[in-house]
Amino acid sequence: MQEVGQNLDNGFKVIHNSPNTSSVINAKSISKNGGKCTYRSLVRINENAKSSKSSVSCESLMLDDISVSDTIPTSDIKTDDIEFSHEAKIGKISDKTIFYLMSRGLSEEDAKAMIVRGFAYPISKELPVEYAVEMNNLINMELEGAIG
Amino acid sequence: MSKELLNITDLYVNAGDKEILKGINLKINKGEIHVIMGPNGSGKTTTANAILNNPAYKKVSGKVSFDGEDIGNLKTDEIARKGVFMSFQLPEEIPGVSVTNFLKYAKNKITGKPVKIFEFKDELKNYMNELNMNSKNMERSLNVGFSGGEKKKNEILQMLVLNPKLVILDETDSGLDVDAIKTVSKGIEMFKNDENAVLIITHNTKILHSLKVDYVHVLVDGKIVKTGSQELAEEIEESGYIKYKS
Repeated sequence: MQEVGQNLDNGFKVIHNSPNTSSVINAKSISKNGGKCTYRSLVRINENAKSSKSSVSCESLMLDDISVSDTIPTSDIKTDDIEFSHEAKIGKISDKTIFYLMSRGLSEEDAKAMIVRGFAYPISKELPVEYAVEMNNLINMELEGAIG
Repeated sequence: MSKELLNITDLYVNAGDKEILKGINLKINKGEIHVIMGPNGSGKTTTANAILNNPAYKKVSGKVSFDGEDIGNLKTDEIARKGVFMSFQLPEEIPGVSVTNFLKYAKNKITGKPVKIFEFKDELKNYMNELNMNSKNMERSLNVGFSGGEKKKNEILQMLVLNPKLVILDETDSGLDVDAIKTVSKGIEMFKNDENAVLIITHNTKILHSLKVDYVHVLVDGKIVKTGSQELAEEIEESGYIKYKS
């Protein structure tokens, strides 16, 4: 999660060098208060890596109008007979969604934290439970007082 | 104890620069079912949103009080915690948050008490059974990939679980098949008692057949132009709103 003046520039590299190999990249980022998030990835499938499969998905969630997210995916595929897919999604928390949650008794902060936790859930459910709890606490701490 | 639950006096509301509500007066007592009917764009949904103080709408003047207290300047969540619930025309989707977790969290916020998880899950299963809902939906993300009918039933489920004092149903019956409308009416009957009240916003008189309605209000161009009993709804079904339009 980024704040103003921060640019989280991260990425992944996957190189397929044998036949019948497979890879999955699933990246998620959250930016707020004018923070910037850059995602780069390279998927290379070499000549000998016949029948390989690779899927890339990256999602960004922005908590306000001033935050930025860039996605720079690259693929370098040197053989056919492979399966490759790429998917990118960028979303912003909408006022309508917040109103919906607030009409169920959640404060604005609670509502935003719930949306962010839901966004991170596909990642946090893969973590051991101790880490998942830490991650949820971190999200709540980051969002405290984030509402201007 | 006063029987009065909601009292709206001379309410003017704008959406952007556009004047939508032009002096609404509405009083709802405990134990009553009210219906607001009106042509598209007459301000029905705006009325519902104004009661819950949606920041997208601007109150120009007028007063909204609930249970004897002025709620005009309260935030949406504070109004919800006082006991107002709105069933949305287009419920929002929240990926990664299951129906169970969402409702448990919301119930905790509304009642201010911890929710006992096993009791709560049983309660949820019972309600879902009554509403002919697939109990597997409990673990699905809230409204994500739900059909139109499932979303509306989910709103009724939330109403039953959160047990508010005043329910506003914003076109909950539109887009539903005959059986689903019956299920929604059944949900309302299960909910209704002498201590709470229901405000139904609708285009459709079908949902009114199986419910005992106390008042029908006709809303045209931001004003309530006529109030009557259930017969008024039937009259409108036959002859439309033409005679109320100026």
